[in-house]
Amino acid sequence: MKDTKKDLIKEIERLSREIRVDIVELTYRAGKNNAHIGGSLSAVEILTTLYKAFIKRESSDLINRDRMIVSKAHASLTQYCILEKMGLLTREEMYTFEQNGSSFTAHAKKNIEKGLEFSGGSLGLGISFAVGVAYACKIKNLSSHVYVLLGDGECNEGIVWEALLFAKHHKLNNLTAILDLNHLQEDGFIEEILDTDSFVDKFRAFGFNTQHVNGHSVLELINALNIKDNEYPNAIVAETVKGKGVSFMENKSNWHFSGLTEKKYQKAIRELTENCESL
Amino acid sequence: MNIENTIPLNSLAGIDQIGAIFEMYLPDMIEQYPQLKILTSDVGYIARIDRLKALYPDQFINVGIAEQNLVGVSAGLTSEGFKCVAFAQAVFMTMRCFDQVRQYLSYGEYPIVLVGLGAGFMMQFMGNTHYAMEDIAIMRSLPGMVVLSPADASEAVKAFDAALKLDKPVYIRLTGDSSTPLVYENNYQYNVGKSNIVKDGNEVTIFATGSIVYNTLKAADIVEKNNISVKVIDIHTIKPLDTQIINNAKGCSLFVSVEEHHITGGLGSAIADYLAEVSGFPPLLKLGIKDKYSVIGDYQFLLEHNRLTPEQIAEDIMKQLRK
Repeated sequence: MKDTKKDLIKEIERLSREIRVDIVELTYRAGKNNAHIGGSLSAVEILTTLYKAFIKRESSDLINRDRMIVSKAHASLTQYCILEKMGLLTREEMYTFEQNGSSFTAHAKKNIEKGLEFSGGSLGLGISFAVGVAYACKIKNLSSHVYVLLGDGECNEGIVWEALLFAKHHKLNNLTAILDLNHLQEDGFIEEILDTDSFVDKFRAFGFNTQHVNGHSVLELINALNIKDNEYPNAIVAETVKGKGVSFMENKSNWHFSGLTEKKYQKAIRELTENCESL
Repeated sequence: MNIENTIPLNSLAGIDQIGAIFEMYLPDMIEQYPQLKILTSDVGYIARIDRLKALYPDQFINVGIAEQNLVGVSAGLTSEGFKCVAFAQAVFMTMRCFDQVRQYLSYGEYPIVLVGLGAGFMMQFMGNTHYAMEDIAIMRSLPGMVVLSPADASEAVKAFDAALKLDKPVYIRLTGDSSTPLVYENNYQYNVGKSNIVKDGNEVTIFATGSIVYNTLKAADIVEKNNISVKVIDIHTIKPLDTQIINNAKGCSLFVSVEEHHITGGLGSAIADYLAEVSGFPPLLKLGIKDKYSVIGDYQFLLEHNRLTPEQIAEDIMKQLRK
């Protein structure tokens, strides 16, 4: 592996650790309002890798920007933390998360200047929107790539599959759907609630060029995101852990949407920063 | 541009609202809208878009039988600068994908034009699964939505033309068929939010919307045989409602609303919402579908069953006046 790639991976891993700390910090600040911390922690490497290594964006040329649509919009928390690192949100703006009157709420509201492509919150709508955007970019001959982050529970929604059919039919090779497969939805394990079997097989059956990766491995994510089909849309099924990085949250459905006591907050920060030092 | 120069009123006799928009207006006028995309969930056949599609294949997208994705794709295209018209049967266009309409058009403020085909009783033998009787109610509940309900083919064209030029989300409800007579025989002004008096009078004011406006005019003639002066107003815009035209009719002794829609939530309710905030207005008799699913039949049968023929409308008004 080239040194530049190694450096990039290290940089993304470092940023991911900082972003996890910020996610915990914002959840603690949100207090009794609670936050979607579990599914935000599972998506950290996916979104950080995308923003740091793939998403092209020049504020002077927004029309040709790559579009990042967070369809599992409860991961807006992760997105805010990354956008702050990218300089699109100020720290002060980020700290208004879930405060009265703030624009930066549990589900992001569209603000293209600030990098928020879409008003999410109703599950399944982001992928449908994304295929419309990808179709538009194609007929306008834009070089923009459209990335969309899906949740596994979100794929219970029928509109997801309507959108995938459309993407394949129209050969939207400028679209990459990344599934954050953390195996948990609000009420429990997806396998127990509505078993979807193999997402890889399903995406392939829907005509997507599909990779299966460890969604916490920056190397695997980079390699998969580098593969873009010439003809058909792309999918990456990213195996992740809900609540990743905080031992008492990992694989626990009750951390889908929750708050932190001071004690738990300190424990979470300790774990995340200790891990940080050992690396 | 005056649409009547391109599509003269007399060319619309015997044409339904759907045909006026998709067979006449769009093929002739689409060139002025290079950014226009017309999307459907597989009911191009109902809208008879053959000519349009043959002339402008790149502007037409059939997303398949998937109304939710129809609105989602339209939103994505709109976000990228295209103007989108999405059409389906009114019942599915508004109810199958209500969440998408709310999230994208209303909350997201994407100025998409939704066209609901075959609202009211026009789906006839398809049955209640296909009758749109609640579409006005739910569309007008959405912040920012413009809700248009044209009375005849000429008004459908004017409504559609206005909707394309309006930078707002719009729902256009199409009713009636090719046998529905034209309400407007002479050139007239159409402005969104500004309703038209189609017959003047001063004792009873009837507010009507959609293709039932014609029957309402006939009903007014019957009522007038009793020496009662009747005004008929075509409420072609349900939202924003023309409250000025209501204020101007304040001196009447009776208000009546007539619609091919549930009396809950539709035109009558929109007027009642306004009347509840003001005082000194006459009582409102709401005629329409009375909170039930209909028996099934042809259009004329359904009108009779739901007391919406000219004679039945007149009878119900006279009964109210005698109370």
